[in-house]
Amino acid sequence: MTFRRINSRLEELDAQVLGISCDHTASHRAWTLSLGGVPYPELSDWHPKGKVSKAYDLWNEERGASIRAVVIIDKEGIVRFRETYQPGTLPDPQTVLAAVAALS
Amino acid sequence: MAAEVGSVAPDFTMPSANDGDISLSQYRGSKHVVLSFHVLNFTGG
Repeated sequence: MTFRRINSRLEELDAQVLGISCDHTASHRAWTLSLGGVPYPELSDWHPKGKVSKAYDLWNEERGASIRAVVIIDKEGIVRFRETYQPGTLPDPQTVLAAVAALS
Repeated sequence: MAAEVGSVAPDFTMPSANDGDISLSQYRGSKHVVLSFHVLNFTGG
């Protein structure tokens, strides 16, 4: 959970984290509870399934699930950073922090 | 490719677990947004 650890630093940089997967909100609630709470919203790309992931070209049709990725959008709504990750790999927190810091 | 660096991010509205519906556009002009796409809950991905 990369973003739980760096969320407060991202807030200081005027950034809002949004978690996204195609799980139902009920699953999100159970999951965030199991983690002891998550300090940012978890969104459900559930209906129609994967619609937003597809709009971002981050949908794995075979798995029927989103592709692991980080997309950073600036205050004007422009994509400024985009990285995808193979299964078993996670975003590097320092890379994400540096990318957000570079926006300000 | 959709949503590549330098392009306008596609707007969306999605239900959240605990905070109601959230739209990307609600942060326009006030916050940068970090989208963390993940595979499925409980998978570590």
